[in-house]
Amino acid sequence: MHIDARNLPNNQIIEGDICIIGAGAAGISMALDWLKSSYKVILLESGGFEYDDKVQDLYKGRTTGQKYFPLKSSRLSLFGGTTGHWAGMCSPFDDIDFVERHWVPNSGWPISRKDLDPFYARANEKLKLGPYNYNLDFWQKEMPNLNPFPLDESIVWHKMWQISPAWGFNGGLSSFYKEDILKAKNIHLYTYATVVDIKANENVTNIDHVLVKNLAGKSHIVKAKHFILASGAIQNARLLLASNKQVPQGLGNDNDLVGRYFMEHLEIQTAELWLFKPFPTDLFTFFFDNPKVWCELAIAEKVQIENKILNGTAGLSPLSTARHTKPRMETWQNEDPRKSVDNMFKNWDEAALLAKNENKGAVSRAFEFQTRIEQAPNPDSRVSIGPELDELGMPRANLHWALTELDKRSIRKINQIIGQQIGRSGIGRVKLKEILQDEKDNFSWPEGTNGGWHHMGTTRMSHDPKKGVVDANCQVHGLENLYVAGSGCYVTSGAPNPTLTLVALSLRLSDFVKNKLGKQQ
Amino acid sequence: MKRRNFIIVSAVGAAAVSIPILFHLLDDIEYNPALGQPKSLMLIWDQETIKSIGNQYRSIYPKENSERSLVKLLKEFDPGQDGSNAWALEENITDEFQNGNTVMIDGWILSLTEARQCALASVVKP
Repeated sequence: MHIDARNLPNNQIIEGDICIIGAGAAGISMALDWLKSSYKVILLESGGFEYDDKVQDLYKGRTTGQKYFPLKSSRLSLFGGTTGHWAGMCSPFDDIDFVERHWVPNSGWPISRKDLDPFYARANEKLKLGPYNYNLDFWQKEMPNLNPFPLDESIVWHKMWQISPAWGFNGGLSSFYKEDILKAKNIHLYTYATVVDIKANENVTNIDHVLVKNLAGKSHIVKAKHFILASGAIQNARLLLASNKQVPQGLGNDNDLVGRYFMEHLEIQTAELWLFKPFPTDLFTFFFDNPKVWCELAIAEKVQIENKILNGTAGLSPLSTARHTKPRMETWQNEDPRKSVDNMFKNWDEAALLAKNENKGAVSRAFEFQTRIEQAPNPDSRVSIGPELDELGMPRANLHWALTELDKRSIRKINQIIGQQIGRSGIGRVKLKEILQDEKDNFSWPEGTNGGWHHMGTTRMSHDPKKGVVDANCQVHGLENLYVAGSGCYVTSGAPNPTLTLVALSLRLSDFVKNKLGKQQ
Repeated sequence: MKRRNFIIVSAVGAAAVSIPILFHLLDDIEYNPALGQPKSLMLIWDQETIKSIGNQYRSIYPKENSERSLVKLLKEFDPGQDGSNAWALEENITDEFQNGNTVMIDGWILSLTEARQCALASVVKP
């Protein structure tokens, strides 16, 4: 069922069993999980079904520290959320991503990979992926020519991704699930319903209602038994911090943790791989027409432990193209996400054209590594709110993105390890880019330091309220009926793209809330 | 065949015949010039690059900045007069990558031995 909140009479009171705030990957996955249940689900979406620049403008904010994408264009405010820009890349986190690692300050989730496995399988279904199997040998039986490099897999292994058909080129999750949501009698989707404030009871132990506004000048109140924030790591933190009329520091922020530990994936062009001979494989090729799987070179857990480094993987792009490809941090600087997309693709097309004439001789067997690593959790890397208000009167979000020495040391070491293993295998040699050549320089970052538009942290998970905003079930500490869904709950960010894990985590939360509601009845 | 082409073909042929026979002579040490020819790297680099990497290696490791010192260090992997020992060189390079006995020159991650081969290539007069 769909209701455009702009068309409702002003000051409506909307009531349901659960209220999901945000209809992106987390919100839609959860709503689908409640289809045909006896519960009334209120799904609130700030935008509509199409891009609306005025709504998108509500996402505008200031960035400081390490250069970042404009906040307005680094996510999407419409039904389907940022899956409208999604590359569809899915792979589960590794076991080591969940454990406490003494060399990674503030690491260690209160749950393990094993806890998440059943939900990963369900997330695979929601995201229209293949079987929940990410082993190379499985995919080798499914598809031809997925030949791995002859590496010692106990040191560098081949980590598999599946590519969701619900990626941005196909319209994201919106295209796949819009009809299901609209037809569902118990799912009440409100578009143009931006939550601007969360109101708790007098003792601030329960949420009573949320205040919804839109640019048509309408305000409504939504009451529910349970409220789930599913608006992305930046917006969730902003909303908690801006809900500061009852508690000046913001809801769930008794320990000054909301907004802190913002993490991205560092995605940097780090090295070149020059093969001695052509290597016949499609394993590292991204088939844009109909991508199904993707593979990156990953570092084994024992090697991460021995070297005290973060987790990371390296993907391959043909060097002839990559050397003409500008960093995304450069091409994606327009506040309008549509223009940033156009700029990026324009550059990719130009690079492909230039590469055509140069792809000869040894260069035709050369590749560039794009290394993606988790960012070490850093309390100084944070989302905060400033004095500037948006059109709905809500304080705008600011982002201070701060990287650490461990990030830089890790990204270098990962490339050195891969370089040594490539050398050992006898298939080629690896050349590190200049930015990684000085072993003493663990502080400077190149202009081309990209993020993946992956917003993580800001409402991290911990059993201890002094260390986390939410508990192991993603319930906000101290608030009986408020939860956070999505990558904001990540304690550490793993190496893979975050969507699969955030959907798995959201489905786990969904089960938890269902159980709670069942007990209440 | 044109005269110019004939000369080139003849020269190449003569060189091919001569390489196994002619050894570099360095006072009392003789070695197969293949020691200064990093076989694998020649698949991705031209001679100029090999020499440039070699020059950089020698500036980082000045104690090895002579043909004599480099040949001494590489001698145990000399392919021999008939090239029958060439496998030892390749095996050693693999082992060095395996054991982390590598150096980084201009960003390239190289086994110590192949870096020395480049260095030797850069000091030997053509």
